[in-house]
Amino acid sequence: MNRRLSRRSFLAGTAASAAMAGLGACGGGGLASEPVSTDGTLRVLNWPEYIDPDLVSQVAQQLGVDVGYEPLWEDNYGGQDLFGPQWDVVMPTNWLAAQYIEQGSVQRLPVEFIPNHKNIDPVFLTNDWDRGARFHMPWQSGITGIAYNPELTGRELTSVSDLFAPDLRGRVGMIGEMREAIGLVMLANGDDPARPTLGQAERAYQQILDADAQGQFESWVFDGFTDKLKSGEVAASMAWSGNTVTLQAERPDLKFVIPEEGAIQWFDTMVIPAGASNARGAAEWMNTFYDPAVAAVNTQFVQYISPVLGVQDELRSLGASARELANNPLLFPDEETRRRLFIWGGLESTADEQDLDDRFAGLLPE
Amino acid sequence: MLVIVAAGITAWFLTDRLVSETNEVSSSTGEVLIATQQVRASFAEADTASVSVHLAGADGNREQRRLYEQAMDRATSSLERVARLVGDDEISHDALQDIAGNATDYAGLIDAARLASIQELATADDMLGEATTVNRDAISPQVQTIADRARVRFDSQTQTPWYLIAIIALVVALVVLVLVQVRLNRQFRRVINVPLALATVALIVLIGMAGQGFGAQQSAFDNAEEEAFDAIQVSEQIQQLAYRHRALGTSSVLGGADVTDELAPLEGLLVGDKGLFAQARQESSSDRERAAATEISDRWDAYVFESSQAQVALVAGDTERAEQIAQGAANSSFNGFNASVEAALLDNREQFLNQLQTASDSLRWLRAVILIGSLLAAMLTWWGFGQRIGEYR
Repeated sequence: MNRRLSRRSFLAGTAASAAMAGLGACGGGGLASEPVSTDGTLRVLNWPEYIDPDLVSQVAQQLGVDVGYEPLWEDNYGGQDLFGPQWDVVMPTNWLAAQYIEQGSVQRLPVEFIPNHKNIDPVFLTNDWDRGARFHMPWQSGITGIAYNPELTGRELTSVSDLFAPDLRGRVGMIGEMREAIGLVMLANGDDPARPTLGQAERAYQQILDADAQGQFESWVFDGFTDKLKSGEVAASMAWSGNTVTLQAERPDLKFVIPEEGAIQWFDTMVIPAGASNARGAAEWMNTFYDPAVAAVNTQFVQYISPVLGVQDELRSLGASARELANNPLLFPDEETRRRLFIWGGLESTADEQDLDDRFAGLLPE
Repeated sequence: MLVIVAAGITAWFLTDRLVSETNEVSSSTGEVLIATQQVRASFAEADTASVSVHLAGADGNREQRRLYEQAMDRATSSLERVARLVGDDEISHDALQDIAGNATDYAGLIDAARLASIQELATADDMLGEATTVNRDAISPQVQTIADRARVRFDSQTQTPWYLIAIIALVVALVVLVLVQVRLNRQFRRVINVPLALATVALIVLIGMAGQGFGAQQSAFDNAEEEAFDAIQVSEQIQQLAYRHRALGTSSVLGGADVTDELAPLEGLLVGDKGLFAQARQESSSDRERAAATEISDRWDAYVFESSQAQVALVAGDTERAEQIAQGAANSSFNGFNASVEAALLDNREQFLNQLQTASDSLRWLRAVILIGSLLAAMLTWWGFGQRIGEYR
């Protein structure tokens, strides 16, 4: 089941199966046991449309390595089948990275080759599953909140509970990512998704289940919420900030709101699989993308929240359209907003979380 | 032969004792040392976070609240680990009981302060102050008691002379065996007795292996101490000073008073050629640790800059701006700094426990080797004497 076609693009997808066939060519790297392995090739597995394509070749040239860059990570479920030591850098979402770290499937970052590690935004350093980010470096981050068409809703939406209001029955898009959907509903219940308990998560799941049974949701959505908002099929939807920024360039009348209860912040993050053959190259790749100047260029392309300190200043220095992005609160939330963003902390039991994940997946259409 | 058997049994007995003590260092004493540090750090972090929560007042600050709860969870789990590991040390158990009681009081006061803060009651500040006092005057000294006792145990278990005595016993057996052979050679005018020569070789090999095992164990202890534990202590001092700085800075915003003069000496202890950051870099045993130490120092600079901005706002009488900075940029940069220190501490703790495990592993085979080697040497000696007695008859 395809959970998420891409973080930002409306395109993606189609090239995937063809590219899958080429995967074998990228695999098969040596399983070096040295703490900081190295070779002349760097194999990077990322989400589709999640990097400025020009940067790949520029960075390859700068590092003096061949970069085998493959945008094949289309979702966190199918992606797990691709994960392994044949890659030097992989970018799973935060909750999956946490599981990989717990399982020992990723290596400790060789920070001696990443002086720009100091540029990680502190908000990404306090996760209990990797305090200080010793095993991962965030790639891009986004917010799951509410996007809506005020003309169709007939009112401003301010709360998660608006998505469950009777006047919007059958006109709501519900996000198909378990942690984001349940996390948002938990916030509405006054719970903290950064420290979720099974009871709280079950309660939120039940509320979603009930609403689904009553026909509250027009559809389960991933990137597709943008099309549905544009066409008017849905009046409101749980939505990703980055896609909305892109959508608003075309449809400025559509709004994105961080609910008053707060919103879910997620991030995709770079890890080095255990046994990767070019951990040093991976570290240098990470270091390069944590140079604020490079990160700013990428932010212009992907339009998600950069986890790199100093990007906002860089964007301001890059000219008119970049300056506009630097002032966009969806890319650079202010302090008050940041305090209302919550990163899913994971249930105490991985088995419980997996079970909830499976049951949630059962709600989604094949 | 009896001398060899006696020496073998003595060496085996002493090695057995040494192995037990080394295992205890690895599985218990070292863990207690680490866990007590975590308890201290966690309470200090809880203290700092709770002041930030308090500063947020009715608005709350869920991130800081979460950090407070996480710190308390870590403190509790570290205390539970200590309780499991201190064995039958009554003084440590008494201290743990006191800590448990005081920790409950502490958490109660923090919660009461938070509720009072939400209701904008004047008593909130007093409750928070009281909680900090409980931490400083009641919890910390008891944690120190446990740490001190663990440290004494650690020193006695890692500096034990048993291995020297074991080697001396084996060397004595070797010397006796050689002397006996010399005497027999003179008496019987035979150049070599094969079993006795083999027994000698067995003893020499045994002494060599014992020396190597004991050497590896001592070297692992030294590495644990010099490469990891010293770095842990420096990081811990950095953390304690930083928490004090943060708490002082945040409290000053609460009270509306500029405390730049009180913050400066704390900063002085951390930065500069003789500051703790420089010491941390010196204690680093690898490029990786040096990189981590540099990041800690950089993140501290970022925090101090934001903190000074809050003090500037206070001096200008702009309390609202000072609060914004304290809750926003200063808060965030401090969290970044603190997480970096924690990451370095985690690495050093892991390194420390790994070295202790190496010490334990280096002796694992030695007990059996000494027992089997000594018995072999004794049997060969018996056989050699048997041959001589046969020739004599």
